[in-house]
Amino acid sequence: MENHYALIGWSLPVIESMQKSGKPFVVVSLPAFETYAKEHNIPFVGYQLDEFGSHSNSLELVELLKPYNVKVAVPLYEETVEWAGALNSIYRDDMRVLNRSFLFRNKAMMKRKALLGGLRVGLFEEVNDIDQVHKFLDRLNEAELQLPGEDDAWFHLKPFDAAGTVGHHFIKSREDIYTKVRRNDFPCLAESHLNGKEFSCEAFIHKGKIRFLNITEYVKLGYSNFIPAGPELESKRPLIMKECQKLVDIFGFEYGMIHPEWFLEENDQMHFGEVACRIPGGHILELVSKAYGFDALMAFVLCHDPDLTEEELNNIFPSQEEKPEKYYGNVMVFPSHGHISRLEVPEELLEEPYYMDNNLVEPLGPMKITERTGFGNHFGTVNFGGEDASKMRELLKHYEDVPFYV
Amino acid sequence: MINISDDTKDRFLRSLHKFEQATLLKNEKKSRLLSLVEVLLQEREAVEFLYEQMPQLEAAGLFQDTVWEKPQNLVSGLVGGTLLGSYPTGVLELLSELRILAIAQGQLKHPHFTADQASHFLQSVLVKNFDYISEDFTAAAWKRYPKKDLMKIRFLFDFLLEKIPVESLKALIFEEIETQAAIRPILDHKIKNILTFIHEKVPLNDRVPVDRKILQFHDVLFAATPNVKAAADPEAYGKLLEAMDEQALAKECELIGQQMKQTSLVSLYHVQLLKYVAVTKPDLVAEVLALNDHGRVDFERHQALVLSLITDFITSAKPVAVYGLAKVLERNLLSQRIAYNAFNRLLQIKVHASVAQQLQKGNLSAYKATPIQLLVSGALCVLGLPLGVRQGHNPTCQSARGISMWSRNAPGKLIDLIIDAATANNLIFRYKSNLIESAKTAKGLVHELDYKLDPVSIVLVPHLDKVYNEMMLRAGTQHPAEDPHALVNPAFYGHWIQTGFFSVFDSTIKAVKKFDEFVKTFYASFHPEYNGGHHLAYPIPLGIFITNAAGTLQGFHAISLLRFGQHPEGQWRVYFFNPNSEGHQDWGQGIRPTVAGNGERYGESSLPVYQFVARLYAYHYNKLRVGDWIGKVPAGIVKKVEKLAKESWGKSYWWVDGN
Repeated sequence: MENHYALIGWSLPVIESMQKSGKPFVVVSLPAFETYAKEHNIPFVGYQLDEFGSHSNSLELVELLKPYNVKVAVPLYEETVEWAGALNSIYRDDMRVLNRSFLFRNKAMMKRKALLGGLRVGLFEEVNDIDQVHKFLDRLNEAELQLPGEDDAWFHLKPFDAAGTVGHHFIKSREDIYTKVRRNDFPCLAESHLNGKEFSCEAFIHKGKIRFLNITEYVKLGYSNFIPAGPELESKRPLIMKECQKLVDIFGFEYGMIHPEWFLEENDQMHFGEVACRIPGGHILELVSKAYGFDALMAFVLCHDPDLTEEELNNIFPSQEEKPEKYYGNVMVFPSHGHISRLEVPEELLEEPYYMDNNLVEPLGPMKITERTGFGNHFGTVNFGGEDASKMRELLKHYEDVPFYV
Repeated sequence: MINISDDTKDRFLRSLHKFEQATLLKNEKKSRLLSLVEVLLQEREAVEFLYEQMPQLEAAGLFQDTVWEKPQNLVSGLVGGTLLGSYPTGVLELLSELRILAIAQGQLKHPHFTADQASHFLQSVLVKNFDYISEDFTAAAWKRYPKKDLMKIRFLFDFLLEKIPVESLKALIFEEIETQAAIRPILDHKIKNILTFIHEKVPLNDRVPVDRKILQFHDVLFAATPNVKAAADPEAYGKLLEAMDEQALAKECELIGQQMKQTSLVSLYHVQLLKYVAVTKPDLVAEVLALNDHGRVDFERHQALVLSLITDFITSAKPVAVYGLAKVLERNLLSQRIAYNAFNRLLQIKVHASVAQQLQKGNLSAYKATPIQLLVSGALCVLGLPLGVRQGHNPTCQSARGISMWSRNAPGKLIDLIIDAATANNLIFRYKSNLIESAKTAKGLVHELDYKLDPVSIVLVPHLDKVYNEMMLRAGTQHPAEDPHALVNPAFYGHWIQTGFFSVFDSTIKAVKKFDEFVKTFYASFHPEYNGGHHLAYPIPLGIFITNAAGTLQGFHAISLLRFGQHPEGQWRVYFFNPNSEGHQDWGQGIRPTVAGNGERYGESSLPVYQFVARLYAYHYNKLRVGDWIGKVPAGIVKKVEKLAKESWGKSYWWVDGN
């Protein structure tokens, strides 16, 4: 019987890709999904995937998965990374696989590991209350040689373990500490602001080696991105490849995909922002699939399998010798605040040659839109494709502000 | 012959392939496919291209889990409004027509919808939406819709007409004209659009019976007399009039006036003639208006006022006001002191700037008119034709019902409301111990008014809608256990609404209660055979369940019960005012309200009593008058009604035995 993949979490695009691949798999997710899974013939094990901790019983889950002959666990979203790590520790008989997964879930630990390995990171500290945040700013200002009357140094506060920008505060002055930070934000990570152009990578890794590297250009973080990155970033590919491989080596990451965020300064210095090892947001893997012509979601899953042969790997990934012909990008649409009643695709968009399609949802009736949290709650995505990176950049920037809901 | 770029077509076909292949992401892939349909529909040729893909689209499940899933349940009368729906509703509606066309033409087979049924459906769509056939969408009333949404309708109808020749529609066209004319609608653009299209594009032969029938109506607009036929246009006709002797002119007036009386249609030539005689031969005005004896008396009494209405307020932009004026005179409204004073005041108002703008948006004709001319023309129509008011594509049956009710029972009050709304752009109602001001009220049921409405509705509906909605909200929060209509209707419509209220539907538990008593009380209150032989004095506001041809519940609707009457064959019928009736409707179970042929007066709809009660859910009544009569209503009647109710809308609710 062929090894089964256990998909931990829930993602319809991944499940559909796996169905098409014909590879055996089982989905492990909250019992609430069981009815849907049954209706759609999705092999399913219901399990209360609470926050992973010392109370978590991964051995019990291993037992439940035995009938499926599972040998590989794949995390689909942020909160299932340790669960997958725990299972893979057992399957690979390597305790450190679980420890490694903690690296992705604790941003302070992640930074420390990166620092130890010699990556450039910002000044960071774990803070437990407002007082410590003020002291952090004091020391940061001091290190930046601030003179009386000069602006405060910028820094960020983020939860240790949240995906995307959930709970993230960008602090630009002492005043911001008073107005933005709440008591229940603690404990969290304080980190100095990194300059440079922010971008992400998706590095597919097998046996500790990067087999395929995509660079994603962000137009506006959380709103729009395109693939492959424009010529400016792509020209730094060797540097980026080197830094990514360094990250993989430092973390001892062996199988799967990592999604690091970097900051590139003009002097070609790269700063490490953070890294995740689940499906990235922004429909990035869908764009990767389109641009490079392979099923990146399936590749994401298969990469986790240590038994994959060299030949199989070569069949999964396209050659990276040639650049894709077209850039593919998208804008995530969030209705602006206030009342909306209907979806109205602007006529200028329909006439735009780079416009591909959209999957915007129709509002069920007049509704009121409130503040968004993290990068959630979008009403759908508008997709673009075309040959010119700078035109793509302009288009994405433009359509971030165009109202689709009125 | 397709001009859409191959790239766009390829993208569509690839997207269609992905949609076919999708298992879990079916909805997402459908969204993306539809977004490409929207791209395609910028070009005329897209309609044909999409038509060719229909078998594949249908097989892929495009309509699955949508309201379009079962073509046999679709309602042709709703197509026009849905096509105007925002994306993706309008796009799916268009595709639904293409699917039905594919079924009609044998390109696609459907287990429950034959090619003949499909053909008939599309013929009905074309005839009911005749405005779309000839419309160029340039009038101000269309401005609220994105141009692309309107152009796709143009493309669809042009394509449908290529496949379904107008020749084959003639019988239905005549039926539609006859039905429309029977309503005596204030907004007559529909019937005029049909006749104008026929005048310009469809040759008629008076030896063919159906052509001859259409010609009767056609001629009223375009060939009412030999002189009209001889004139190139209304201006040229004016010149001919000047050359006529007295006898010829009198003949002309009589011919044209009588044709209006028979059809309610008023041509541009008719307006020309009326304006001409008002100045040169006022005695002939009564002939041009084809007035009856009542009307003639009022005309003589108020000649100066009437003549100034004709010369100063009636315009080619609203010819139907001529018919409205005739009916106002025949109702002797100007001889009622209150109405007379109110009306004279209306003539002198200064229209509020934004109301003026709205009135212009509602001018669907090519002729210009001032806001006050439009409003006075509209007021003449509403006062002369209380049952000719309709709600258009707006969810405002309550407001339309009010306008109609006031016109019949309190014309002075109606004119006062028009004056307030037109001058202050505001209305104030009292509800319990508080005032409700429409200008300070945030929202009603209308999000964006469809301006294809009569001028009085354009001015009043935005305010009435908000006031009614606000009253409903307050009643709902203050008395959650009661049906808010019971409190709101008397406060909104006025003191002639009866204080008793019976609703068979409990909305909090979605249950039907006391059905037996409900039916009996209705019969004992209103039916002359069970209430001691009495007829209604005031109209009764009613709530009904709207059902489709399959009898399935579609929603709630407000209408007015006007009278009971006995058909010559002995059957008792209910005559009612339905503010959204487009004429023929099919409510399922063989329940089809008619607007003519069963003793209806112009503008009324009618049904046999038991069929009507089978769709009823609430009414006002007078508790003091029910008395013992309730015991005299036979159980058999209740059984018959209950069976119809339970097998249609009743399936959507619990039935609780509350007797």
